[in-house]
Amino acid sequence: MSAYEAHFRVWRGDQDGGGLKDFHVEVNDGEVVLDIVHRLQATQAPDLAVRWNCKAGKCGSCSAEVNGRPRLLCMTRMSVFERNETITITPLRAFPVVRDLVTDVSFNYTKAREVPSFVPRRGSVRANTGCGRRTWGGRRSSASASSASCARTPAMWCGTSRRTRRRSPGRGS
Amino acid sequence: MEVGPTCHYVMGGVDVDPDTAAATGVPGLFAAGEVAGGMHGSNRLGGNSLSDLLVFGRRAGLHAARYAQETAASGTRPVPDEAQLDLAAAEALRPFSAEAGEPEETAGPAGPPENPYTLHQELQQSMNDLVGIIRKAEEMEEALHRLAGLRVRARRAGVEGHRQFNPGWHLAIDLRNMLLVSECVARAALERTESRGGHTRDDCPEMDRAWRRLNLVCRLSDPSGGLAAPDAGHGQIRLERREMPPIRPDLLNLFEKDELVKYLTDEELTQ
Ligand SMILES: Cc1cc2nc3c(=O)[nH]c(=O)nc-3n(C[C@H](O)[C@H](O)[C@H](O)COP(=O)(O)OP(=O)(O)OC[C@H]3O[C@@H](n4cnc5c(N)ncnc54)[C@H](O)[C@@H]3O)c2cc1C
Ligand code: SF4
Ligand code: FES
Repeated sequence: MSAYEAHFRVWRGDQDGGGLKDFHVEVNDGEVVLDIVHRLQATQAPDLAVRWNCKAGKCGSCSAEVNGRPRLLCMTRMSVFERNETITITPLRAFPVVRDLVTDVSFNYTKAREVPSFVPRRGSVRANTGCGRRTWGGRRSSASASSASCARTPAMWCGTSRRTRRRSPGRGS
Repeated sequence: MEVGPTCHYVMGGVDVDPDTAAATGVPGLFAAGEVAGGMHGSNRLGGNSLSDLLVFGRRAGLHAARYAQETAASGTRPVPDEAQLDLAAAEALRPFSAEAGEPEETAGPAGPPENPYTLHQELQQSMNDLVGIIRKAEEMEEALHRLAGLRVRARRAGVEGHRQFNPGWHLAIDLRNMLLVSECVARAALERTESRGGHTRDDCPEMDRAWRRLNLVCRLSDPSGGLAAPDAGHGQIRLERREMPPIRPDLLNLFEKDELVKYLTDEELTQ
C-alpha cells in the first residue's frame, strides 16, 4: 500500500448558510477520516472547525456525516472507501450547526442532567463492580444516558469493571 | 496500522496544597485531578485517578466555596489588574495580526508568519524523540535548544479567519502553554539524575534514595514577560528543589521494612 491523493468535499459555513468545498489531500496507510480532516487543517484550511477529543471512538465529539451517514470521524477508516471515490463530510443534521463540522450538542448535556444520579442500594456488595448495569440498583443509571454522542459514558476507564477484575485483580490503568 | 506508546497520565502539574487544593502563588485558584501535580509521587497507581478525583475534587470544591464566601464577606477578594487583563487579551489576539507584524514586540529575528500546526507538529516530534519514555541528558539538552527556537517562532504564529470556533487560533493560543509545559518537563527530567516511577533515564538507570524526598518546582522566571526568553540554557522557568515532609510513622508502619529499604534514605530508616 502507498500514499495517494483523495478527493474530499467538506461543508463549510455557519448557521447563516454555507456550502461544500473541494479539497485534494494526501492519504496514508492506516488513516481514518479525522486524520485527513486534521491534514486539511494543517495544510489548506487552518480555520476549519471540527471537534474531537479521544480519537478512540469513546467520546462522540467527532460525530459528523460521511457521505450522508452519521459517523465518528475517528473510527471511519479511509480503507473502506475506493481511492477514486469522492468523500463528502457534512455536519450532523440532528443538531444545529455552529460552524463547519461543529454542531451545538447542548441538548445531550441537558438530557444527561435529567438522568438521576446513581445511588448504591444500601448493603449492595456489587455496588462498585460495574458501569451502569442493572445490578447497581433498580435504575438503569448512566447506561440510559447515551444519546447521539456519549457525553458521559464511564465504561472506558472504570478500573473495576467486571472484565478487568476477573483477569487481573486490583489493577486498573 | 500505526502502533506506538502514548501518554496515559501526567504526574506533574499545578503545585497545590494537598489539604485545601489551593494553588501555590495564585490566590483563588484551586486544582484537583490530573492537572494537580505531585499528588501521586513518581507514578500513579492504576485506578487511583478515580479516588484522586473523589477526594481532592471534594476538597477543591469545598475550599473554593469557602474562599469565595470568606473573601466576599470580608471584602478581601483580589481584584484583577486591568493592565494585566489587557495584556492577556492582546496576547490572545496577536495571531490575527501576525502578518502585519509588530517589530518592537517580536523577541527574535523578524520572519514570515508561522503555521501553528507546523509548530505544534515539530514540538510533538521533539518531545517524543528527545524527552520520551527513556531519556538521556544530551537528548534533553537538545530538546531545550529546540524549544528555544520554537518559542521564538511561536511569537509569529498567525491564523486566518475569525474568532468563532477557529481551531487554528485555539492552537496558536495553546502553543504558548504547551511550550512552557514542555520546558518544565524537559528541565526537571534533566535535573533529576536518577530513574524513578514514570521517569526513566538511560544514563542514570538506578533509583537514588537521596532524590526521593525532593520535588522539583518550576516557576516562571519573569512572570510579566510574554513568550520571550530565547536563551536555551535558562528558558522561561526557574527550577527549585523542595524537600518533602517525611512520611508519618503510622503510615510507614503499614509497610514491610525490607520493602522500604529500596526507597527510604538511611536517616528515615533509622528514625
Ligand atoms: C486511555 C486512558 C485510560 C485511563 N484509564 C484509567 C483507569 O482505568 N483508571 C483510572 O483511575 N484512571 C485512568 N486514566 C486516567 C484518568 O482517566 C484521568 O486521570 C482522569 O480522567 C482525569 O480527570 P480530570 O477531571 O482531572 O481531567 P480531565 O478528565 O482531563 O478533565 C479536564 C477537563 O477540562 C476541560 N478543559 C481543558 N481546558 C479547558 C479550558 N481552557 N477551559 C475550560 N475547560 C477546559 C477539558 O475539556 C476536560 O473536560 C486513564 C487515562 C487514559 C488516557
Ligand atoms: S451514542 Fe451509541 S453509537 Fe454513539 S458513541 Fe455512544 S454508544 Fe456509540
Ligand atoms: S474523537 Fe472521541 S469519538 Fe472520535
